[in-house]
Amino acid sequence: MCVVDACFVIDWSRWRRRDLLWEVFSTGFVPEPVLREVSTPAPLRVLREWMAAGRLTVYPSSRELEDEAVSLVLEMRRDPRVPRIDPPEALCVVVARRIGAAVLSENRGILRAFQLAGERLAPAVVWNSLRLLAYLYSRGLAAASSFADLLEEYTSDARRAFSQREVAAVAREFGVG
Amino acid sequence: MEEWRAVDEELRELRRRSADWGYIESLPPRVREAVELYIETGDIWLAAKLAGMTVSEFNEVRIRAGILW
Repeated sequence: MCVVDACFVIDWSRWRRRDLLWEVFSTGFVPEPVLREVSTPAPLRVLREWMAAGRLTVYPSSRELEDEAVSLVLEMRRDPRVPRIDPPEALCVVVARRIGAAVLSENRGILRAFQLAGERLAPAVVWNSLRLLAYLYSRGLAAASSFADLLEEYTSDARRAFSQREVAAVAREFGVG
Repeated sequence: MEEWRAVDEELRELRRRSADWGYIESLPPRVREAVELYIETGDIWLAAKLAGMTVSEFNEVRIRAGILW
């Protein structure tokens, strides 16, 4: 299962092979406040398609969930090593902690919080599109002549590029360099 | 931590260099400040809120401003 953040969905929905997401995850949730951040036609159309196919559904919000998300933001701010985490990403983590899912987000704060203090977010894990693309390529789920070519295709469609340092690190980690 | 600082600086510099500053200067003040915040931090949610937009609306501005990182 995955919990998708707005910044992930907005970029990923532009990729021509976006449905490969469902080769990795059986089902996905988008928290209600995150859904409100998606308001332009193209990503809304993709969300509608995924919802109609029974892949994605909305995770209802509540005062309790949102309070827990704000507590997580404040907790992470006390750790000077963790960059700022915004409330929507924190909400995704709170939901993912409850249901044991992966958070998909491009927010650097939440990615680094996971790398630094994953035990505080467990059982949630946090991935961005770069890691997901590396996973898809390493498992043979996203065919391409090279990982670099796959990234070029994604960048061209999503209009979102990656740090070359991070690409090198992730490629080493997944053995796709 | 040092590696992360290097990544942040790499991305900040790429955002600055790729940005279409003529387009950014033409934006209304609130949106212009938001784009500049995005260039400095890469934080799209915060920038969208400063612009008074949703994240997906602000993302369209980001793309029109030529910022890929």
